[in-house]
Amino acid sequence: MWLGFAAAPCAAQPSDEPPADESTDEAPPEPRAPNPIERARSHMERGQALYLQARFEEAATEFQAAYEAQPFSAFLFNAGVALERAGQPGRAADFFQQYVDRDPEASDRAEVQARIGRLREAAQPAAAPPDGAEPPPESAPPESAPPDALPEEFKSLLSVRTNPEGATLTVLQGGEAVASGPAPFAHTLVQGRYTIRVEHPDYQTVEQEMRIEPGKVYVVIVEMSQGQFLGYLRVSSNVAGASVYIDDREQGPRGQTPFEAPIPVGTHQIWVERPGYRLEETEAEVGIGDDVTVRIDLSRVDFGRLRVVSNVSGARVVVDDQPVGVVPFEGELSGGPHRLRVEADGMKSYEAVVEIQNGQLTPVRARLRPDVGRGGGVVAAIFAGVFLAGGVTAALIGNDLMGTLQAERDAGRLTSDDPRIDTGLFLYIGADAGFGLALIVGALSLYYFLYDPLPPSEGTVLEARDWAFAPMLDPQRGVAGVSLGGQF
Amino acid sequence: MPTEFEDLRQEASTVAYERPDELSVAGIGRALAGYGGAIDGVRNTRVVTSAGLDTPYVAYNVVRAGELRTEGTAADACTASRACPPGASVSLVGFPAWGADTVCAATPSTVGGEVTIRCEGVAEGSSGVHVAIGAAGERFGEAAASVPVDHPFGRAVFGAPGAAGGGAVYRLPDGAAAEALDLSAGAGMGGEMGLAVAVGVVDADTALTASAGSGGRVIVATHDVAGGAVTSTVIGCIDDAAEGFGLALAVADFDGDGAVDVAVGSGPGAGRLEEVRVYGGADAPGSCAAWTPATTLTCASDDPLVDCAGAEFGASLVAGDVNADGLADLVVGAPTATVDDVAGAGAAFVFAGAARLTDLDDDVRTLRHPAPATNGDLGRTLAAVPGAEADRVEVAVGAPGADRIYVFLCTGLDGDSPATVGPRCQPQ
Repeated sequence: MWLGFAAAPCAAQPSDEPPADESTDEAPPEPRAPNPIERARSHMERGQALYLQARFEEAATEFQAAYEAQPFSAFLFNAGVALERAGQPGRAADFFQQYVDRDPEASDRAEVQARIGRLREAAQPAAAPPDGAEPPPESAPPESAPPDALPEEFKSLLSVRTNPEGATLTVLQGGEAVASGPAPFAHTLVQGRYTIRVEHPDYQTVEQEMRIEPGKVYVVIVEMSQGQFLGYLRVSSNVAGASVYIDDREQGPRGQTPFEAPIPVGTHQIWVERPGYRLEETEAEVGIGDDVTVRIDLSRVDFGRLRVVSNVSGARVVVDDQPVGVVPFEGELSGGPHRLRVEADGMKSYEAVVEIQNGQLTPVRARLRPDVGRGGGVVAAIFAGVFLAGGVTAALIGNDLMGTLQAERDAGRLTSDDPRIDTGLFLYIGADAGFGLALIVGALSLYYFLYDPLPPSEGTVLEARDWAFAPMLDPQRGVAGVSLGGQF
Repeated sequence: MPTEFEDLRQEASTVAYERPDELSVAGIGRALAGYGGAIDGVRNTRVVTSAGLDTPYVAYNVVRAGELRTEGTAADACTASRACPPGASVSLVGFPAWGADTVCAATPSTVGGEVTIRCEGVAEGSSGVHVAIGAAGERFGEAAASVPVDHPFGRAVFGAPGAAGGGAVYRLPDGAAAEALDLSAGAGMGGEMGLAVAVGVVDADTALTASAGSGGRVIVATHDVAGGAVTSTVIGCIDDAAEGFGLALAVADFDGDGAVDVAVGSGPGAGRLEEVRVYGGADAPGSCAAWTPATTLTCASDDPLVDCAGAEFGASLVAGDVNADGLADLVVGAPTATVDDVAGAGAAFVFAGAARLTDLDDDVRTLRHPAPATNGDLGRTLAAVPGAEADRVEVAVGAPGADRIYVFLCTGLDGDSPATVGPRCQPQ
């Protein structure tokens, strides 16, 4: 069996404004549903702020409003203190009187009664003023200098709810019970260290030390099943939707920024992570009833991701002249421009300069088209070379033969039917044919090399997007789609 | 450019004439004759050839319209479509004119005895085709020789070895019927006179003939036509019983002494003489008496590629002034000579005319084919073709084994550079 407490901190800080959510770039947190204790806490906080500004009467008014929201005697006492400080002993005595009337079992009843007497006496008018003269004020003028701190005599309110209800709470100070009762439980306390004991017949009794500061409202929610005392943690970031891990990353994220949830009291390790951003880590100390807000801003990583898809599966992906994989490809690249080439056998390569954005995914869709084979051109070039070589050879042999025959002609020994003339004729014809064929086939080769009936391969470099927008498949949920967690 | 070789072919110093398609029988060059004359006042010369008895003949251009134009055939051919009479083409002659027609080729019919004459230069009113009467039944025309110049003696002589009495020799006067020559003074030494004939010109009125039969006698006679009648005188008889002796004859003034000399070779045969005897005209006995040769020529070529063994040296002869030096040169055929180790390729030799007949072999040039054909028989027949200039002739050589004839436009003799188109040969 487990026994636990959940402390919902409502203790106000001594400031003019209630604590604001600093995640200005995020949607404001969901406003908590107004309830009497919250309204009382709000008035209590404003009253404290006014008090510290020496605006004592206005502070008393706020304390009174807090009482009207939640009729705890502590608010009446604090209003009396403020009015006494405001130099209105009569009204102060009235609030103190309401305090003892509201809490006849208050441990300081006797002291408050005595204080009421002193205030009533101080509120009596002095000697009658002469005619026409203004009556003197009710008491001495109030101190004009604002106090440095709230008076220690300011009473605080401890409110405890349990789940399940029915637990018995005992507030101990110095080993002695100062208050006790079934939950829900509320009691006015002065500052000091207390021990809160929660007992339930079906759960283990648990005690928790707690320091009560003057003038605060403590709302403690006791979640019996948690077996732990809890504080309240808020994690905000400049990047909404970032995953929030607490204490153990292996267990997965506890939520996303902006994050808020009860958390066990103690020191916690917090990680905030989002694809495309550097992992950030911090520690937070959460006390019982504390409302701790942690601000963790993320910065982009110094690399991006490249995704390449193509109509040719298995096409090679080459980045900056280095092969990095095959289609479909996705990998990390340093930010900045990169030369991308997608190539496949028998296909025209697609080349592009891709600007990789840090922390973002740059998708590239390449459509490769068949490459017209250059084999025909090579074969034609070879044939052209052969024809050219044959032509040159025939021409050289023919020239040599021509020289011989010319010499014989000049010597009167050449016969018109000399077969060498026909040989030379054929050689020259062969040479001319060789040259002609070489020219034609060479031109054909050039044509084959240059002509390409198909357009080049093409591709589209899509706009870089946050990784959170990457297509996703969640087998657990059985859904596929696109994550919308990015900030756009 | 291929045309460079065609140009080279046109500039070749030896022109080969192949058998045209219209001549269906192979072996042209078995009969051969050269002739020329003026057509419309312009010099034209031809070489005419056939494959022998009863085959068509064809005449080729050598000089056409005054220039060497060795391509193409002349229009006076007797072809398959222009039938020749039976017995024709065993011998061929040509002459400058026949009547008013010029540049004529003729072939006798050994059967009918007529002579079919076709002329290229056709006078008005003439068909250019003429038939002269010869002698039927005498194997008329088995041998023939053209009179080399326009001479009153006639246009040609024909042998008729079948004539009664041991054969006969006829002359063919211009525009008239053939007329037998009286060679009775030389009778004897067998018959078939007229198996070989040769004719030369002694002077403006006198011609000289040499004729041979199968008996080994060569009758040399002069024929004076002054006054219209022919007076024949046998001036010498040359006898040798060697096989085929005298079946190759040529007559010309080889030494420039003004007398017509006689060269005698032999026809084919195992016992033939591998020599050519040259008899000086000045030494003629004046009757049918023994005649001592002035010189005997043998096959002694300086060309290392020619092997004269069994060459049938002297199987054909022709005379003409090849190098235009005023002296007739003698061309001797050796149709079965081995050339460049090619058996039977054949060759011919040009013996330059010299002041003394004994010096005929001082300047000898060999005519052969640079790519000899086996059994080409080059030199089986020879003919002198009038050249581009009137004072010289070109040598035509028949090679029936190669089915073609050749005209050597440059024999290599000194001064023999007849080319008017291209450097066919350089002056020696």
